[in-house]
Amino acid sequence: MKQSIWPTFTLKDRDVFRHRIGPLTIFLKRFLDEIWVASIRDDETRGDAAGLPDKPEWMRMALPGEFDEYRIHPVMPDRPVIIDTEHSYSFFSQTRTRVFSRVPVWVRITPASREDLVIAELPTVVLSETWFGGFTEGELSYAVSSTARRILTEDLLEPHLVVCPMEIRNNSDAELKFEKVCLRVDRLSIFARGDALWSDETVINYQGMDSSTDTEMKGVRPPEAGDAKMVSKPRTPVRKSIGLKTFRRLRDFHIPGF
Amino acid sequence: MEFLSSLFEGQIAGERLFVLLRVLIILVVGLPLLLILRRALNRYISKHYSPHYGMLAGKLVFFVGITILLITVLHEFGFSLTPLLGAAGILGIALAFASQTTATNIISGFFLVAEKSFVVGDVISVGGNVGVVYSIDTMSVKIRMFDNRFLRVPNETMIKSEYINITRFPIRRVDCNISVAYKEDLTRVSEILFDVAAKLPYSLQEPPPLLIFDKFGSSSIDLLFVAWTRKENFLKLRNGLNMGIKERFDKEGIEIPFPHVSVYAGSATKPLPLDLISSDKTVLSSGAQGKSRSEKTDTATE
Repeated sequence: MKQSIWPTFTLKDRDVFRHRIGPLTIFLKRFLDEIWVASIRDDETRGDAAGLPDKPEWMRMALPGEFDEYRIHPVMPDRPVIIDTEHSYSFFSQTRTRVFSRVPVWVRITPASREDLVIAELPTVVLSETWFGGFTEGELSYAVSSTARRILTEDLLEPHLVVCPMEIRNNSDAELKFEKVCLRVDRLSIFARGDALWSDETVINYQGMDSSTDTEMKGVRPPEAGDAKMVSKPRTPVRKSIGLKTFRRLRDFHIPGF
Repeated sequence: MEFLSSLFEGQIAGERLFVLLRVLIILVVGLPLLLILRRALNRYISKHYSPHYGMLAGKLVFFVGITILLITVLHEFGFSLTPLLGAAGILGIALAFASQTTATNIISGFFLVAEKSFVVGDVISVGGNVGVVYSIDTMSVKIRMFDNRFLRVPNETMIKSEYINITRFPIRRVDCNISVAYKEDLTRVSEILFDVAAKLPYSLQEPPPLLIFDKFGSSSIDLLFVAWTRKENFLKLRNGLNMGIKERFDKEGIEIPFPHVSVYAGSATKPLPLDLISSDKTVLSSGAQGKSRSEKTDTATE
């Protein structure tokens, strides 16, 4: 029987468990009440888990008790991600559109009976850091190579990538031009259907003038996800809507630090 | 009559004892309470806001508390504060004249704190010395240098001199000066440099790295490659970039030239003969190989 991508598994004393999620293979070893975690990444995104390296870089964790069952969950990255629109994107006044982006998930390991006890969180893909804002203030984020797509086909669904639908509305009287969008993934939930992962929909309302926009997280699975079940709650508690800088316009960083 | 006199004296002595007792209680309770309050406030504000504000709040509470305690004690002893304050004013003026440097430092300290050009925990460079601001005190700024030496800079000096706050802004730029041989394809060099930066996860994608053609050097084409990172990762990126560039250039066969010096005695002569003497005293000559050591000395003398 095929093992689930996000399994709950039993780990006996001194056993080593290995599991692949996208390019990431994780290794878990139990020693009394300690858990040892190691990981490697390769170019494959599917298939069998990679073999244990000769000299794995173990992380040792002493737990407050002995646990037999452990669980691997998908969670969103711990910082906002910057979605590239590939080309400069213009929105005329009173226009709305829906786009999809794919964000690599993180893997959270917990005892099955104590999900609050986070043993480790590992990114399936190590993302480059990027800065969202100006030279004097801004926000540290991750850069995602995936672009904002209008149409999502089945072949784009990967087990380690969560599909994030976004609706962008230009409610202002002015034209909106941008080339990057900041997606606040820490406020999104994850829903799973088979091996595919979906986040709830983000609605971005651009009001014009100010760089801040109203961003609303719907909190329910998108229609494309069908009967997907929620597998991860947002890292940051969700408010009805938040006003934050969301678009990176063309004029930002026009003087590249000189 | 004697009885009344002794009773009166006894009452005065009792009253004095009572006053002394009250002052003692005020000091014994007040001082530790003040110290506890200062420490608690410092910790709370440092935790919730910043160590800088914690230190300031602690000091403010302490000095205000000490003043209140002093006034209370003096009041208990029956001193009237009005002439005392007048005297303090005159004394203050006299002291200010006598200790101008001290007064300047104190006033400069207020301006330093108010200006907020740096706070406790910032890394600053003053007069070529770089370190972490340890405390901003009444008289001076204390800095812990990176080699763990302690630097004290008077507030007046800080106000008057230029200093750089290295960690004021959240991101920093790493500059790499690179030289390549004239024969190299600069387009390929540029691709390699951007690729090296892109492969380092702590090199920020935005603001983007930048390659600047610096100058045609005497023996190389000089380039400046800059990339951005979080201030915490500055050294990590500098090492990562320089080591990554060297590694990739070696792999791709891109020459990093270094100055080659040929020494001539004149335009019409051959290069000067040169002896390389190894540890076992074997003489290797560039000008006249195979000659003995004594012969070589003669040649050099010629």
